[in-house]
Amino acid sequence: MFTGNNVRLRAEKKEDIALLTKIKNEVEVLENLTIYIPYPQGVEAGEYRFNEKIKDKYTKNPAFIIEKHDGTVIGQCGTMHTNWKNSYTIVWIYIGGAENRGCGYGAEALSLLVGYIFKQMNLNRVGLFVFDFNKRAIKSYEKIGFKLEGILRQELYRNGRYNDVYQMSILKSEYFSMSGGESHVL
Amino acid sequence: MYFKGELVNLRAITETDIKPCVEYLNNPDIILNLDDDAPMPVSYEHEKEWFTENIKNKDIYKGFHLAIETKDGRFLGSCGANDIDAKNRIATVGLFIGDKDYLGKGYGTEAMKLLLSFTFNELNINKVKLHVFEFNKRAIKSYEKCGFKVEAVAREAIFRFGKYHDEYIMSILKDEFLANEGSI
Repeated sequence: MFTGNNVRLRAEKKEDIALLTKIKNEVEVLENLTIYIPYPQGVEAGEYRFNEKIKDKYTKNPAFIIEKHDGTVIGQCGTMHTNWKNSYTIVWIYIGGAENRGCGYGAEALSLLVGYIFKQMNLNRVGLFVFDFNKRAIKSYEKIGFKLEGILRQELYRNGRYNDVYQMSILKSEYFSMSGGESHVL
Repeated sequence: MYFKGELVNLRAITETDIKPCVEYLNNPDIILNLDDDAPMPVSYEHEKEWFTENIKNKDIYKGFHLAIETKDGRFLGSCGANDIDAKNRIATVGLFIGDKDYLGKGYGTEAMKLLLSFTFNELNINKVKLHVFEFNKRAIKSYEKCGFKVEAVAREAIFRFGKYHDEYIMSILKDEFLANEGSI
């Protein structure tokens, strides 16, 4: 359920906060992750978020640490805005360190997460948003089975101009028709 | 100016609008096109609470709502921006005409044009967007008349009438609106 060929998903621990803060403050992560003002945060903000999150015992928006099999933490992925009635969630992911990007780790982690959403959370639709300048991520999401369902024009002001945002999704029916519920990248 | 049209005026929502508003929102034909939650009946108290909270809001960038009325003062519904993304300068708008005698006659379309004019000319917004269910054909046509374009189709994004339906995300950019403001 949580383990792929190269990475696994696990719970976030207090000890991860410092490293996660560092990763989230990498310019490549800041630029590509948030539609809000991309500003760096301290460890304290991470601790606050962690302490709030653990109170939410029956969360509808699970999130995981992504680590390699040797235990190196490389990023995080999770869900947000889960809507039970309309049966959808939205996923997010980030991978830190240039050496970890472009190796398929993110695709594998996201595939595990998508499988978890369809097989354990009983949802019908997984959506995501990705910025038009993040070509590598778009390619990776297509490989997993996400389809482009629209281009949100001038949706993001960043680096001095308005950029488009790609809206992608994968449906439960599509997921289970791909190799019996196992995504191609696993 | 922005708040006076040929068929409708936009004005502040007042306490006397609550009663007709509750009546409109309890009509399944209205609410099933408006909200992606399950269509629960609403009470006067519920709407009154919304009204009381709403008039406390002084920051227009947190959203705003206006009543739509006919030229002779009949309350038809409301419109406004539920959400404004300040940094990206995007307003997500919504509109409803609750009196079915006034549907399909251009009242909603004119109200939306007034809302767009106000938003682009006075709020310094770069993009106005909205969400509409694919089965609400009348609304889609009206938004197209105002200059909105479908930019994404969120597949199976709403469960209603026993199955999943697509949801359209439509938008209009400031340049598009201001270039045609005289003609649309």
